Amino acid sequence: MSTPSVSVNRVLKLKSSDGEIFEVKQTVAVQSGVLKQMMEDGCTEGEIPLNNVDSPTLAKIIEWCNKHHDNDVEGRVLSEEREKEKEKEKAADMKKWESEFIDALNRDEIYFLLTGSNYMDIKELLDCAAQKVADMVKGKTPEAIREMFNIQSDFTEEEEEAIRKENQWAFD
Amino acid sequence: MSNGCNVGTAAAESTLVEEKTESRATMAGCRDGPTDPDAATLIGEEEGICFVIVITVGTISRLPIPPSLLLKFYSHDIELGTNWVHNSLVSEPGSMETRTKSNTEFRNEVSEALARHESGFDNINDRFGNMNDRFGDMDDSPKILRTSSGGDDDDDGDRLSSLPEPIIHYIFSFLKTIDVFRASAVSRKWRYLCVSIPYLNFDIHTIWSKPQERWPLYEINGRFKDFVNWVLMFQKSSIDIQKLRLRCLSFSDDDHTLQR
Repeated sequence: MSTPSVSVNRVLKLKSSDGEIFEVKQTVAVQSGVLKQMMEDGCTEGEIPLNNVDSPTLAKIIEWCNKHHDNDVEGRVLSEEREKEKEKEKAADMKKWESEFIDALNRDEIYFLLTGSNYMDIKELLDCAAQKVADMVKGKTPEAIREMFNIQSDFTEEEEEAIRKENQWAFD
Repeated sequence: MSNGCNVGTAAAESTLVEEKTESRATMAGCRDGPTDPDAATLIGEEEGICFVIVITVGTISRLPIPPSLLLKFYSHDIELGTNWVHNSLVSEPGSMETRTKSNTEFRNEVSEALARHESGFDNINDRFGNMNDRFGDMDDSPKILRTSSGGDDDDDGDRLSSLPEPIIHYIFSFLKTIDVFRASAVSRKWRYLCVSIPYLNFDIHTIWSKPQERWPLYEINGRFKDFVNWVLMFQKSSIDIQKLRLRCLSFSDDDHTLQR
């Protein structure tokens, strides 16, 4: 996981869009594709401005990365069989943690998490948040989706009728 | 931005044709200053050896293109008479020396320069592409169905539907296509997003629950094909499908009626 230029003890200073500074271990920060690239290029001196991420979101993102980092580096001294078992357990725990993490967020927070993780290129987090939204949409009627996302239909009645006919499959 | 200055310096330093240096510098010098930033300058035409056209790109549009980026067209009349042979995007002037070189050497050099600056073109293309996308969105979404109600859009409500398009598409990629098309009936914007999604995932079991109990096999397949064809038909033709997944009941072997 570690690249030659990444040392365990060094920290990166991340600056959120509202000016707050967050310190993150390099070993944790490698989960972000953008930061990883910066470390490889050796341009992580000083504060790294993340202009598209505000501090509450950055805090969440770092929480996520810390958790996933902890999960990766825990001791590997167990016997193979035991380890496999442990891995499974850990994966299940992680899934649980992830869903609790994401369920605790409101829609605005998810929105910022999506844009933030997209910006910082943290695929796992982006996947998790996208999956969450997809689950919200899955199997819902258009009316239910509108209600959930507080969207006004801007179709006329005729158009809506036409769509309804076209989309018979969806309403069947 | 000081495009004028850049042009002047660039042309003066250029060693494309040595004996032309002086006249080029003079000609380019005329263009110093902010006036007429996007005009092309034709320099050094006697003897028909070489034309250099310098166009500044920086101030033509308001795009954030580096001011030092100069678009130069090189012409070499060897073998091809007065035809333009190559054009090349050069950001560092003074790299071409033609006098002592054979045609082949010169060509190789130009090709190299072209390759080197291909990325420059790509950058500009990307920027224009982004701009176009943004304009395209504005144009495209109302075109799908004509609007009759006023400007009250869906944006005042929830943030999620105002996410950048690629992210929404990414989210939709986690859904089966049937869900995406259910969502397309939500609003104009959603409809636009749904027909421009580059991921398709057809799964017969998510369209109808227990289809085998409702219809005979040929009818299920018929309906499923109708659905797939219908979706493909409504897809914006400019979209490159990146992922297509099809899960169906067994079709008969001689059936090739999926159209696209």
